[in-house]
Formats: sequence, structure tokens, C-alpha cells
Amino acid sequence: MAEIILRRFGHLLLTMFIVSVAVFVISEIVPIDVARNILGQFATQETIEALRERLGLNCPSSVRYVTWLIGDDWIPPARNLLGTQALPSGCTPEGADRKGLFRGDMGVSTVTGSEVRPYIFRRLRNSLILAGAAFVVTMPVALFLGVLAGLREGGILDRVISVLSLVTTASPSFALGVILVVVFAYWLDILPGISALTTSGSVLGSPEKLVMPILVLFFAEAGYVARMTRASMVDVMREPYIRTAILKGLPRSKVVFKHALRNALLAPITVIMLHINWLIGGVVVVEMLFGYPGLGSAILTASLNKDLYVIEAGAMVMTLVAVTSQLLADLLYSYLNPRIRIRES
Amino acid sequence: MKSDGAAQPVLRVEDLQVTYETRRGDVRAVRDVSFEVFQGESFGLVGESGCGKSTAAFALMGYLSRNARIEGGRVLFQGENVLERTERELQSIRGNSLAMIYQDPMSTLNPSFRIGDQLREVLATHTRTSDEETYTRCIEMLDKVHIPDPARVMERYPHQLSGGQLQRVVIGMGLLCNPAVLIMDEPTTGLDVTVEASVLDTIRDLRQKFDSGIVYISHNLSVIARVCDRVGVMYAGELVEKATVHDIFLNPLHPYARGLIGCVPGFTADKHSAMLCSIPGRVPSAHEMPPGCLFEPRCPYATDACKEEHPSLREVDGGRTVRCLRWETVAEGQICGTGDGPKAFTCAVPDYETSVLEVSGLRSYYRDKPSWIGSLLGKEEKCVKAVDGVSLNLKSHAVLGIVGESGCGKSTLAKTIVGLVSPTDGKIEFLGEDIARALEKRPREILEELRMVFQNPNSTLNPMQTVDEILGRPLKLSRVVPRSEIKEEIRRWLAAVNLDESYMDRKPRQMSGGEKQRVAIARAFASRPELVICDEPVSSLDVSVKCSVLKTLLTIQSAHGTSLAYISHDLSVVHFLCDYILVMYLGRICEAGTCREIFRPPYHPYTEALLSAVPVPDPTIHRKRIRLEGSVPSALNPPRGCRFHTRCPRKIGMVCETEQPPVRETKSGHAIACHIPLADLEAIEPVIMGRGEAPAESQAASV
Amino acid sequence: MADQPGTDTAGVGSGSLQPTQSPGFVHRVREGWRTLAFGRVAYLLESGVAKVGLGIVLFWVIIAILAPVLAPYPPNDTTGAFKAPPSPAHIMGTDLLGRDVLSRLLYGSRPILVLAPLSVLCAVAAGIVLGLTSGYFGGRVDDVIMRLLDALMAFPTLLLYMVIIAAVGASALNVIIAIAFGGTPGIARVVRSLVLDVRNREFVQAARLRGESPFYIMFREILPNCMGPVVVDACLRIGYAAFAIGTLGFLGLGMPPPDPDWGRMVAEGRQHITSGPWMVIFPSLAISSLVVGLNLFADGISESSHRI
Repeated sequence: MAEIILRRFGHLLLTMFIVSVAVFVISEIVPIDVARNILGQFATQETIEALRERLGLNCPSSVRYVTWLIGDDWIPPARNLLGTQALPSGCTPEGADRKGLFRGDMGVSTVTGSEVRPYIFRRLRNSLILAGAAFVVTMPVALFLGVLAGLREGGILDRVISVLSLVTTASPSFALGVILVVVFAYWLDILPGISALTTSGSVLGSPEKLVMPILVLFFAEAGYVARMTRASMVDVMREPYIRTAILKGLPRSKVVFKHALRNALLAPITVIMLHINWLIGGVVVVEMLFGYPGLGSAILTASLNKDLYVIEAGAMVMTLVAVTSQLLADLLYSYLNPRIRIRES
Repeated sequence: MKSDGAAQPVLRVEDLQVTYETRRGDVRAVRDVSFEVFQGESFGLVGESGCGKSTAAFALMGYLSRNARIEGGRVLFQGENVLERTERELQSIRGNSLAMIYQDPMSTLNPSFRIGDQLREVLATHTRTSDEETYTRCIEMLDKVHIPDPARVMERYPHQLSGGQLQRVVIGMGLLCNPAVLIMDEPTTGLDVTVEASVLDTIRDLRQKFDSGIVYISHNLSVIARVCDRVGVMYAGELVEKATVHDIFLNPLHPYARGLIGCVPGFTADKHSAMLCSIPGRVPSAHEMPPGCLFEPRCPYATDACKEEHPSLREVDGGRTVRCLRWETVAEGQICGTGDGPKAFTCAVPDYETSVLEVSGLRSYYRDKPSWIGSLLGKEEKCVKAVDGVSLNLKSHAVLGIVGESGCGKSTLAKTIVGLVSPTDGKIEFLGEDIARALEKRPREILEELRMVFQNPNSTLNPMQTVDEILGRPLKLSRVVPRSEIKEEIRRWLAAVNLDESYMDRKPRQMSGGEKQRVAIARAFASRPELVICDEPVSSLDVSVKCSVLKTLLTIQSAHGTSLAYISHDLSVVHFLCDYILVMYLGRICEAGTCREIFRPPYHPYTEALLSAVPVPDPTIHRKRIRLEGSVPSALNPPRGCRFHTRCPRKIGMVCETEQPPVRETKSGHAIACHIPLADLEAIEPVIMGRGEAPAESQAASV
Repeated sequence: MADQPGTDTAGVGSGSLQPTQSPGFVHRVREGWRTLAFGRVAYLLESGVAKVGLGIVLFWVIIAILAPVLAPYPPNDTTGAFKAPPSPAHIMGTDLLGRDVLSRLLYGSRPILVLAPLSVLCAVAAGIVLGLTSGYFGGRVDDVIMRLLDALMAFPTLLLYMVIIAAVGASALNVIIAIAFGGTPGIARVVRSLVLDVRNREFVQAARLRGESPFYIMFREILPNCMGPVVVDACLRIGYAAFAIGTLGFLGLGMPPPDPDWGRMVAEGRQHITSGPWMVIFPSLAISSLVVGLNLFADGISESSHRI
């Protein structure tokens, strides 16, 4: 087991490294002119150049990548030690005081001017609340429906559940959201519609506004999980050891709950966690639809506004969440599956 | 063997008929099966794939898939019809008084639960014993099925045990509640020969201790011969003959039973004395059943009456029943293959002067280097010594047999010689050239002279190509015939493997296993190679198909004089087919010699055990009983010294554990690698001691 | 005397059977139909689900082709009052800029039906090349390719799209590139695992024994045996791609205005869901039905292919 944990962790580090390079590269090949963005389009060339010099934007990319990760407050002392020729020119921004991503410094937004980190983390918290609540509501229901459908394979209930699952899961979440809002808020007038949640107060302050977003996420996710579970259940019920259990004279309830479920739920549980990637995307759409102040909408707004540091930091945080959950899923699977946990003697 | 106890049979099947509903229409899987099983006796149900025996077995338990329906008949278990019971009533008898076990124990047990839990479950469901007593009973049962260290095994998960042990656990699980009837569906299929022998011993042993009636289902006649008292032969869903084991093997009355028994080579004949006689044609598909007797299209005794009338099962003197109109004529005919059948044909004669293949000191290791993380944690490189020092000499036009059980390295040996695997060390001299390197580095002319026939008929042909393309390609590449004649050559090859010209446009999915394997043989021989290596080509085929494919192979080999290296775990096939034999164990050769020499003393102790273990289709044969303890050690960490010493019944002492055994040779070239001196080995009694009149009891003469 | 080929004999007459029985006429016709290229397709379509899905997709394809004929007004022109509810003149009402919703809806089917298959085609091509190479050669090559693909897959998909499009801007081509990037790792993995499975099959070994070149083996022996599952997977991905295109449009990362795009139509009308639902409900229904249709079709095919 130890080896598995270490190896997966190594993968995580490697992946994050590649991702960081990718994020940085993509934002570098972009003609995002940070300086121009800050000063506005009427600035003169000289002021732009001066700002670029001040922000250290004339530095070669590789060095900037490194300083992005580990900061540049070590540069002045380094220069003092090694002399000013040691490092490329243009790499000493005024007030070299960034600590770098590894030490928690995410820079300053070029659009709003405020610090990126508290902003990102606040948004992350909101997203996690939304995703977490949706998860808690969706999973038990979806697993239950999937098991039910799998047990009655080919029957009416199975067909209905399967088709409904496919329809809800295939529909793009925004379209589904719109349809739901029109039905519940406009037509039936039961739930509050779309009203932008204020960014200052806590999202938990007005919980009824969370109902629609959670409902949309539920419909988008439940179908997928139900189908996965159904497929797994059908596969397991066909396995020879189920036949053994039946022919041992065990009552059907025991066969299902003890023998089948244990193995049938193994795959979906991990698939659920691996599905986090998709879930994050779904969350973004819901955030945009309902004006929910989450991490996804933050990154999206930043992309549209070309707010470089927010994009970079947001992308890294989001990817870290995704990769970590995959790691946990992997470990969970390895632990639950005796064939992996206990190797042959 | 117990005599019939009660007058009433404990299980009686009457006119059972089961039909499946499929997309293509109804399939009558079981047409008419009737038999009885008495307390304490063992009834065998024999048939090839598709004959309906498994369906019948499940019907006995009242367990049928959703698209199956019972068209008629009764299954009377202890007087009550199982087919009419409710699910709850069935639950109380299943596992309790009516139990079933089947093949492939690894998938039969739930991988997520410990062995102990799964055993206890049976008792917990059907009895009211305390936890303590349940535990004790489980331990006792594991003991009875010869599982060493039962307490530890109870705590293990299925994947931690070997196949043989698992199967014994499953058997034990079936017997826990002392059932009145135990149904066994191919329990030893897939196990190694020596393991199978000890499991069969366990089954026989259990018959002394329990008086359950046993229904034993198998496609393997030889296993049935060992375990059963009476036998029923099934063909295309019906029972065609029922008799005692003795009668069925020595004088079968139904032509199909006759054909089936003639198909299995025992140890009495080889290719020089008589050819195998196979059953022509193939089993009719479910939608094309003949109107009269189902076997008529393939029957050598058929008359016109057989085409019209569907025979019923009739009783014949001696308490036997047979489903044939012509049984009296059949009784007077001969079973071929026993030496007094059709005359032998001319086999190729080995050329003792020239060697086509000489291998010396061949080593083939699989190395598994740990990743950098692994080495950080202190893991070492794993090295599987699949082939560890093999030398052999194959003469021109000869057939060499390489025998061994799983893990002995015979497949790796084949792949190394052929070039699919790179050798680690050693020399391979083929046609005068040293080819001990990977395929890509060998000269083209050599590649054309060395071909292979593979084991699995389902993956040996490209599913997307027609037979025409499959056979055309090697012909095109090797240029044995000019381009214009390729089509004609393909037709000739199809004829040589007994396939009609219409097969040229067929794709593999339109062919049966045997037909695919024939195309594979044609493909291998098409470029007229000097040497063809066959890696267990018939082991996954049905008995009668096996026989006809072997015949084809032998015919072609003799016609072209190709040298053949035939790898198998089936000693009886090797006895029939081969001129020379090598016996392998854990990567080394234990014994090498001609066919005659191997099957007589002096033996290597492993060969002796193999000969004692191999099932033979002759219930009267008397053999020494030699059983090996434990299972084959892992090739990752082979025992030092003689590799066989951990299981050898003739181990002489410390020298076996420390030193590699020397190779002892007789004058004729028969070589045995053993510490025991040759003179002592020659003095051993033969394993096969002859045939008796009555079925043999298990001999107590273990060494 | 060697056995005569063609008489698999036990001595006495071999019954009424030729070595191989020729199948009946009806059976042969059915087999012939099945083995034809599009006969296979017909067999696959036996699933009712697939038929329904195909029907929906074909419906939209026809709409896309006939849009200029069917649309009552030019899609980008202001032809009515702003935000007018449905009326006989504008069956689906007008949007915030007074453009006819129905016309925009009809024309909006075009980009999605063109871009989705195109992007999947690119992803399939790239995925096949990468998967084949990785699976066949193994070793270092495989490791490197797999690590890169893993990293790519670790990106939440939408995030990937956002970053790429933020970088290179929004346009039809960039949408194709973004979706192709997102889809390639999945397809490459599928191809790779198929290749790994097929590579060990014995007919491939037989080809190696004949001395065939790696290219022959990869493209003539292995690839044809992988195409089945790849095609099924590709159909499924077209559904995902349509889903993604819609979502990208909604998030404003899709194609630039003013051309009609279902996703963006919803985004534009987002603030007015309760006051002017017609502006958003019709494009939502449209895109849902199309994506659901594509998925039903792919699902049905996948089920049938498992039963073959």
C-alpha cells in the first residue's frame, strides 16, 4: 500500500508541475498586454514600457515562470551576493516583494488591484459549499436509483430510470437550468428565480437562493451516477459468485445487500470522485446562470477580462482540487478492493 | 463404492425439456433427459460443449435464466418436483440438502469476503448452530478436503489461494450441510494435471465419508472414468446412452459414444500402430436439427430409417439404455484407436542424422525493474526465470513433444525459439545458423522456415480478414508458388485441412473453433517451413474436434515431412503424436527421451507422478498412486538445488536441496536429471500396471 | 496410404454429410446483408433508442440545411419590437434587440452541427495516432505520451476551454481546437487500451513471425480491429462536443456575435428569464433535444455493438 500511495502522490506532483507549465505557457503566448490592461488603452508607449519595466515583464519567460512559483524577494539579496550581472536585466521589478505561489502569494489583480488570494479563497469556499451541498443531495438518491434499475434489468422501471437519466445528464446544464427556472419560478412560482447573490454577505445568508442551483446540479449529476451504478450492478449480478450465493440458498435480500452491493458500489464510488472534473465544469455553468460568486465564475470573468494573475492562480487552485480528489479516489479504491490491498502471499 | 442403499433414488429426472428464447428464435437446449441417482453413488453426465449438460444441471437446482422455460418433465428430489417449488422452498433446500459446485473457483467465490465468512454463511443460513460450533465445523471440513493450516485459510481472501486449494474449499462448502445430492459441474477443468488428480482423489475420498449422491458433469471422459459409477452420454440435448462406467468404456453401444471414446488416445496406441478415428462433421446448430435421429448426419452406421424415425431411449440387456436403432450392429463393430481399428497410415520417419534445431543452455528471464519509487522503498528487481537452462535436439522430420504443467516455462520456451521473446542467454541453432536473438534481427529466410500454431482459436486469426486474405498473405510473402497460382494453392490447403472451398470468403466469426484452428494450421504450413512449433493447439477444443484437428495436423506433417515441436500438458496426446518427448518443470528439463523410453522406467520422479496423475479413459487400468504435495513453486524464487525437491516423493536427502542434479544418460540417449542413480531408477515398477476386469479401486501403493 | 483429404472417415460410409454443410438460402441472404458495410449499421440500429436518437438528429440536420428557406426573417436583423412576446408575426417572439427568435433558432442549428463533428474528427485523428504509437511501441514512448495526456486530462475540461480561449480568443477555429484538445486524451486512451489488448493477440504474433513491418502491423492488423469501439466512442463524443459548444456559447467563450448561437442566446436573455422566458426557453429546448438525440443515438449503438 505504501508504494501505491507514494506513487500516486508522485503523479500528483508531476501533474501539477506540467499543469503549471501549461497554464503559464498559455498565458504567455497570449498577447495579453498586462501593462496596457492596467493603464487603459489611451496610455502612451513610454508609460507602458515604464510599467513593464517596473512590473518586471521584460524578463525572459523561464525566469518569470520561476519567480511566479517561488517569488522574487530573494533577488535583491542574491544580486548583492553574486553581483548585478548574475541575473538577466529587466528582472528586478520595483519593490521585489513577491513570495511566489508556493509560499501562498498569488499576486495582485491587474483589473481590480486587490489581492488575489483572499478573493480566490473566498470564491473557492463558495463553490465548495454549492458543490458539497449538491453532492450530499445527489449521491444517495442516484446510487439508490441506479441499484434499483440494475436489479430490475430490462423491466419498465429500469427503462424509465435509464432514459430519464440519459436525458437529464445529456442536456447541457444551462439549458436544463433555464427550463427548471421557467417551470418552477415563472410558471409555478414556487422558488425564487435568478437573482444575483451579493458578494459581500455569505452565501449561506439566504439559503433559499441555493435551492435552484442545487436542483440544477442534482439533475445534471444524478443521471450520470445512476447510469454508472446501474451498469455496475448489472455486471455484478451476472458474476458467477452471485450465482453461488443464490445456489447456497441465501435469501435474495442477502444476496443483493451483502454480496452484490459491496462489489457493485466499488466502481461507481471511484467514478464519482473521478467525475469531479466534470462537476467543476457543471458548477461553473450554474454559477454563471445564477450569478453565484464561485471560483468558476471568477476564473471565467478573469478570462474575459484578461486578468492574468487571477487566471493563473485560479487555474492552479481548481486543478489542485481536481487532482487531489482523483488521488483520494484512487486510494479509496485501492483500499476497498482486497485484491489490491492485500497482495498475494 | 457403496452398493445401492435405498431402493428409491434420491434424485430422479424424468423427460426433462428446457428451451431458451433467443433473438433468433427458440433453442431447445435440453430435449429429453432422464436418469436416476441413488444415495452414495456417483452418476456422470458426459457431453461436448452445447450438448445441454450445464443447462440440465442448473435445472436440477431449479435455477434457470430468465429467458429459459421448462417445456416438460420433472425433477424429483426426495420425492418432490423441484421445478414446481416456490423460490422460498428452493432457498431452504439449496446449499442444504441439494448443493452445487462448478468450475473456475476464483470467480465462484466473492472476492471481497474472506473464505471463513463465506463458509460460515452456509451454516448460518441453514442451521441453528452457535458461532463456535459453526467455526469448528468449518475447520473440520477444510481438514476433510485436505487443506493445510485451515485456521489461517479461514482468514484469507480468495485471491490469496491457489486454484487447487480454492476448488477444494468450494467442494467443502458444498458438503458443509451434508447434502443428499451434490452436483458438480466440471470442477477440475482448468486445473493442472497433478492438482486435478489430487482434487479427484479428495472427491473419491469424500465419497467414503459422506453418502451423498453425486451428479458429476464433465466433457472429459477420462475424469468421468475415475470418479463415476454410472454414466449418461449427452448429444445435442438428449441422453443417447446410459450404462455403468465399465460398460460404456469397454463396449459403448451408441455410435456417438463409440466415436467419443475412440477419439481419446489412451496409452495403448500411438501413431505408428493406429490412427485416431474422429467423428466427421459438426454438431448441428440449434436451427438446423435433422428430422430423424440427431446424430444421423455424422453416423457411420446410419441407414435411411435413421433419417426418418427419431429413436427413443430403449432398454437393452444388462440394465443399459441406448437411443439407437442399429445398436446391435454397432455392438459387433470395432472401436477404432485401440489397435485393431483401421490400419495405420505412414508417418514421417525421423532422420536421425540431421538436426533441424539444436538448443543449448537457453535461458529466458523476465525482468521486472521497480520504478524509482519502488527502489526508494527498497524493492528489488524481480526476475522470473521462466526458462533456466534448457538444451534440446530436434531431428529432421521428427515430432518432439514438450510436456509440463502451468508455470514450467514451455510456452516461454516456444516463444523464445520462435523469436517472440528475446533470450537472455544460450544458443539456438536452426538450420545451421545461430538465431538466439529477437525476431526483428533474424534474417528473412530463416523467418520463413520457422512458424507457429497458437493456442487460442478465437484470437489466432484476424477477425477482419477472410480466409482468402489470411492464407494469401504468407503465400505472397514467401513466394513458394508464383503469384498466379496463389488462389489454387489456397484451395489445395483448404482441402488438405478438410475445409470446403466456400470457406475462402468466410471470416473467423463464421467459423467454429476447430475450423479456425485448421485455418491456422494451414497458415503455418503454407510457406512450407522446416519447423513448426505448436503451442497447445487443441487444448481449448472439444474432444471430437480435438481429435480431428490432431489428425489433420499429423497428416500434413507426415505429407510434408515438416519437423514439429508440440507443446502440451496432455500426456496422452503427446504419447500418441510424438517421437521424442521432453518433460519440463519450473524452467528446466527433467527427462528427455523417445516416446517409448519416457513411458517406461527409468522415470524421473516428476514424470512418474505425471503418469500416475493423468486421467485415462479406461476405468479398469491399474496404476500406482503417486500424489504430489503442495503446488508448483513460483518461478520468481525457484528452489535451490533440484527444483523439484519441495514436492518430490523420492527425495533422497540434503543433496537434493543444495546441488543441481546431474544428467544421467542411458546408452540410447534417454536422459534423466536426478540425483538418484540410474540403476535405482530402472528398478522402479512401472506406473501403469495393466488392466483389470473390474473398475480399479484407488490403489494404496503410494511411495 | 495417406488419408484422402476431404473424407474425414472412420472407415465405413460417412453418412449424409459433406465435410461442411452449406447453409440454407434464407440464412445466406441474411448473412450477406449483415456482412455488408452498411448492413452492419442496420444491425446496430436495431436498438429502439438509437432510432429515436437518430430521428432527432436528422430532424435538426434538415432544419440546418433548410434554414434559409424556413426562416421568416433574416436572423441578425431587427424586425420587430424589443423583447416582444410570441405573436402571429413572430411565433417565438423577439429578443432584446428585436431580432426574431425563431429565425435565430433555425440558423443557430448550423454552427453546432458543423463544429461538433469536425472537432471530434480532429480529436479522433490525433487520438488514433497517439494511441497507436503509445500502445504499440510501449516503453519510454508510452510513458511520455501517457504522462502528457494524463496532465491534459487532469485539467477540468471547462477550465481547459476557458484558458485556451482566453489565450487565443474566441472564434470557430479556436472552438474546434479547444474541443479537440479536450477530447484527444480520452480517445487516445481508448485506442491505446484497445491496441494493448489486440497487440497480444495471436494473429498479431503470427504477423510478427512473418516479418511484417511495424507499420503494416499497426495499420493493417491492429487498427481495423480497434475501429469498432472507436467509432462508438466518437459518436458519444459528438454529443459531448455539442454539449460543450452550447456551454461555451453560454459562457461567452463561443463564437463572436452577432451570428446566432443557441448558447449565447440563452446568456443574452439570462437576466430576463422570468420576464421574457421565450427568449431563453426555446434555445434551451433546442440544444437539449439535439444533445439528447446525439447521446441516445450513441448509447443505442453502443448497446447493440456489445450484443454483437
